[in-house]
Amino acid sequence: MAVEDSKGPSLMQGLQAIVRRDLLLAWKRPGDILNPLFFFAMVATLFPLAVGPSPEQLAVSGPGVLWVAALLAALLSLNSLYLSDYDDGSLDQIITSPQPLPLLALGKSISHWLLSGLPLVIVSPLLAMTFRMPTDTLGVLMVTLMLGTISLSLLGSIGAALTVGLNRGNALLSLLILPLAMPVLIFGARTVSLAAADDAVAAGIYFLAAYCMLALSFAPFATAAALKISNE
Amino acid sequence: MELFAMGDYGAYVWSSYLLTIVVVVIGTIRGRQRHQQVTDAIRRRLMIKETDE
Amino acid sequence: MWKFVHQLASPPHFYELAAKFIPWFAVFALALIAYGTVAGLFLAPADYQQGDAFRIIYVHVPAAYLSMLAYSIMAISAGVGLIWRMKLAHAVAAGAAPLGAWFTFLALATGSIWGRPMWGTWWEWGDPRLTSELIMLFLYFGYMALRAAIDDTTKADRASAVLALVGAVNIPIIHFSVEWWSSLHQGPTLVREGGPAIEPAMLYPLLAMILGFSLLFGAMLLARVRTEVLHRERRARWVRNLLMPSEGSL
Repeated sequence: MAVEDSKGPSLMQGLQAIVRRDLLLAWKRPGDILNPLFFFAMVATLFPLAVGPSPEQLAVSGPGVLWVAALLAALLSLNSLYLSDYDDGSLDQIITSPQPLPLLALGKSISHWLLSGLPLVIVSPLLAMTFRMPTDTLGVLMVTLMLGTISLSLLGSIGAALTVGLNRGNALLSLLILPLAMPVLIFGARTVSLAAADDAVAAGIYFLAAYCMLALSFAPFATAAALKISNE
Repeated sequence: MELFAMGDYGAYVWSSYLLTIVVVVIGTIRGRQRHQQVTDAIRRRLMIKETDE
Repeated sequence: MWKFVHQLASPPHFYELAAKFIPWFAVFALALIAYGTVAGLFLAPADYQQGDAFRIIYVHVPAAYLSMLAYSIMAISAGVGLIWRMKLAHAVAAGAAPLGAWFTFLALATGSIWGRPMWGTWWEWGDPRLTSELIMLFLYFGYMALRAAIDDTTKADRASAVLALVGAVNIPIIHFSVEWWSSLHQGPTLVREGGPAIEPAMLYPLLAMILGFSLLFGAMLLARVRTEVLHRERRARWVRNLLMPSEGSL
């Protein structure tokens, strides 16, 4: 499906290039993956310590806590999404590249998810078990977290693009993304709770998938517009 | 006076209406203040320019 | 007609024209609000379920309506400014935001005050409208914070425009999510505005208040946009002529 253009690389090649670049950079800076992961684990372990070890309480609050922790971890890692590119000048190169900017923005979101969202999804069952969440909810937890973190990577990049290079952009980024993240949080956490109560989860999962699709369709374009504006 | 009691809900009803008035008044005043600030700043700058010329 | 619209987009014309409209808006607004208040507080019969507490509806609903109207105006004018690069449109968006935030706060506060006797609590997470309204307040804060954080006016205009549009798409989704979420919550019966069926004596004051507050909002918005325009055009000749008509003499 990639249009083989004799004049330059195809769209697919462009996408792969930027994803590969980010992954390579992250390989050299393991903190990119580890920091959000540590944060996620930290929040998830501090909660039981603070709230008390009663298994029923843990099981009930588990989905909510894990989801909030995932959201905060995502926010933490989004701030640096475009920061290093801005600092070393590669952001200019990305914006003026002949490849369509939305495509490159999509690539950045993909690599962000691979580095911060996917590890969270993989680690979540372990943390869920410390919350004494029933094992048959683990599947739902992973699916909802996967869809949710993808949406967060996509939507968060809009906020990251709008605030790149601003002082105290960190707090502002959180404020901007918060309303966008609410539907994801609500449906994600509550669907897992429903699973724990043996209720129907299809509606929640369909919603998360639909929201993810929506984000996929328009977030790259919004991010591209934001990048161009921020970098003027 | 019974009219103002609003069937025991007086405090709630009147505080809502009072709050509404307060918000509208504050909003209007702030708008005017800002307008005054802007015109003052422009006038100041224009006067400085004139004395420079 | 086209000429009128074209002229309207020119800042000095807008500045002048808006000044003429504001007093009319204000007068009609106050008349409608006066009628609505008196009728709502004293003439409308007490509600079957809520007694006199329901009278808060006459300020709560207009506030909530305005919070959403302001956001729509903000998003649409931001979009127009972004696509057609109209500076005046950006000025409208900038002016609408703080007003929208105020009315959102008012909607939340009056909703909370109303909730106290009805639900027994100052805040009810189970009510989807209160929660959606709270999220919208965050949207407004984010918009204003982003504007404030960017020094260059054009850049601030365009960045906040992107944000406003993204937020606009999200508002129906947020509302739907919160409704679904609170329907799962086995909470107290939601307050049905006005009771089982809203009768004319209750309805007319409400309509008057909604219309009156809309006109009031219009007047306040026009005033703020005028200020905004003046500030943005501060170095222009027409502003100089306006504020210092006697050039060369003090």
